[in-house]
Amino acid sequence: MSEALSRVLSGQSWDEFCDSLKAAGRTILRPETPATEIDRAEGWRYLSRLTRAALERMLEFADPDFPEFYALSHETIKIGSDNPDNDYRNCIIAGDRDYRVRGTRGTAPYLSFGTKAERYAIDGTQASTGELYATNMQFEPDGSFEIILSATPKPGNWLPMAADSSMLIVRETHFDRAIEVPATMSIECLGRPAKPAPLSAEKLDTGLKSAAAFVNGTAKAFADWMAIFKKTPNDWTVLPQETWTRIGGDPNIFYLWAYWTLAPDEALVIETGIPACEYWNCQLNNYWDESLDYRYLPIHVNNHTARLNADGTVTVIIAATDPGIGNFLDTAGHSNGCAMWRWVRSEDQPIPKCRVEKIANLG
Amino acid sequence: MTDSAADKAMTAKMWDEFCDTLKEAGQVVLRPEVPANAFDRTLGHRFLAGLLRGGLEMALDYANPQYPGFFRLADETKKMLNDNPDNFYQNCVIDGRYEYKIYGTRGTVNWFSIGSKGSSTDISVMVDTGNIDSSQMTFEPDGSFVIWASVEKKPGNWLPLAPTSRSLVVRQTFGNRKAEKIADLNIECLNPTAPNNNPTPESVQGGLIGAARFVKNIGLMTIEWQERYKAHINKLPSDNQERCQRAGGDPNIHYYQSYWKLEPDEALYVHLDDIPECHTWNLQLSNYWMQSLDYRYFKINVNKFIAHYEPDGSVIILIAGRDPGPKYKNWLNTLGHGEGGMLGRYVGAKSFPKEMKCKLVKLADLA
Repeated sequence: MSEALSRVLSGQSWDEFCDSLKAAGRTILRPETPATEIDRAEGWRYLSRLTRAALERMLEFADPDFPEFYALSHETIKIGSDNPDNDYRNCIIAGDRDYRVRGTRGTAPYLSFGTKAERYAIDGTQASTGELYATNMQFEPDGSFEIILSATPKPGNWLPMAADSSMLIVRETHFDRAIEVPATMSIECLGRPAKPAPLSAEKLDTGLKSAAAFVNGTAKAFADWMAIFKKTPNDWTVLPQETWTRIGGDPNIFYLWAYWTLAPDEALVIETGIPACEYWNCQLNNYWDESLDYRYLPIHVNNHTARLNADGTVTVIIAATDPGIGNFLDTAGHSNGCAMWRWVRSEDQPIPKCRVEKIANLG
Repeated sequence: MTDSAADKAMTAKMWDEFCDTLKEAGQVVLRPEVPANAFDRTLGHRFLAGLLRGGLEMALDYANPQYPGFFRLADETKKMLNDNPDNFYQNCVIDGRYEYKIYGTRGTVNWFSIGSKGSSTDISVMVDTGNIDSSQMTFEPDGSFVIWASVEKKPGNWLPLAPTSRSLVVRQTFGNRKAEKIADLNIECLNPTAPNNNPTPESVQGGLIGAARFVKNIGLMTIEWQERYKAHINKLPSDNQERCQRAGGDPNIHYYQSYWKLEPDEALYVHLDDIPECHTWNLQLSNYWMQSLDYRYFKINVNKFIAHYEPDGSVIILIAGRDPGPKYKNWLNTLGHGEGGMLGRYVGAKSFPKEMKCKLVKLADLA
């Protein structure tokens, strides 16, 4: 009997999965994390969400011969400042195979495809191994398209992979979901076997181990970032952009992160001029880098939704109550958390100015 | 003295209890009733992992009835209780004390129904409190629609709720899954009183423990049901309809539920020669854990619209581990399993045969 099989039959695989999840709880209790009820409650929920994401990633959508798109971030799974304007699609790939993505463009203003060598579970990194943007792609007159993913160059729409590419990330950015038509797409491994193999004890054992490692690794990676952002509260932490492409960021995007901490009567006022760019947005996250609940609350603003000042600049207000000026983002019961600014395909990357004011003194 | 949820949130106790309860649920797979082979035990753990994902969505992420959303307790990778391969299921946590607007577009799916279900302290019991289906609804010319869900009757499309209603179950039933587009459904609570959807220590505590208990309870319930169905292995008698309804079944559906067990050289020959007039019918194969087999890649179910019919209008279905040959066009592949669950349905019929007729045959004896 293989070791994996005996681990499965004895229940050891499952027991270790549960024990390893339990160990991830240490991250939520690290000394620098906020000891408030809401941040702790959301911390435990965050771990449970990472568990769902991890089981999908490592167990259910883990066959590179039969990949299918799933979403590692959406309304109720949120990782690493997930963009509320995005529909994310993720899928497993393997650099030694070729894939074909077929779909329809839809009308979302921004659509990008990136292949990544995913090492979240190992060292928290996710290196870019190929990028393709809708602006550089060919589409049929009816909007349909085809992309070949391959480690060797291909004619037409080609998305490069490296030997260790393991994940495809698709970012579809909407300015206004109410009027834009979403893209559709599916993926197929070329030259795949006729039918998927049944689940083996080895795959289950590895899947559960990897899932628990993903929960631990992801929670730790973003908690580590927050510890760094915390050193300059209520202002952007400006780091070289390679930092973010190394963990799965889109190379077209200039990312700024900030830790914010505010008393109930305080507001973080952010002001900037707007350079020529394809898209920008600013969003509010909790301490665990989950976007706040954008289904129900005003927690982000973009180039389409923002109300600009008379001089063309923009003011964003992060606060518990709306002072009636600028673009209000609702902290919704949180006293601290993370904020992100994105400049996308931007001619210039100004650093928006931040200052803390009493809400009563605004407006 | 027991700690409050707030106390447990401040320490790791809330998370530790969740992990411990989940670990305990793993014992379900090791029970003596479960077939003692590597495949079924391996699948048992994946079954639990799927229940965990669905349980967390139901009890934690989509648990606030004032800020509801549709989620999927059963889908292509989360399967339980003989989930129907012809269905796109959606679930939603609501509360009959509030009113809701359900809105969307019709799509092209053959038929869909929405049922409201009442609360019960027993996880295996769901009480029917109201239904509406696409055949009873009015749609705008562009296919858009609104349904009002409330205790008080409303004009237009109305889904009745009772004050005790606690969830919605949506069944979108395909004729041909690959060719039809599902209806797009959204839901909004019309009279929330909470200012936001923030979790509290109590809601997270309840959600985590609720999810872990859901894993254990559905696991145990599955074993209990399969023990019952083992009493008529390889037969498909009409099930106890009341019990099926209590477990969340659709009142429009008449269920035939059982257990199959075949040697590699055997097949189950199902002859449907008394199909009543109905919206649709189907027959599906599941594994021991009552999870539909992988219909994305394999033919493991047959229905009214995709079946091959005999000249006399009857249908012959062969359940076997290998292709029984071109004469048997309705071959359902057991995919390497030696035993498991099976379920037949007559949907929207007015009369029902006592059974779906089955006989055990040797593959070698089939002409």
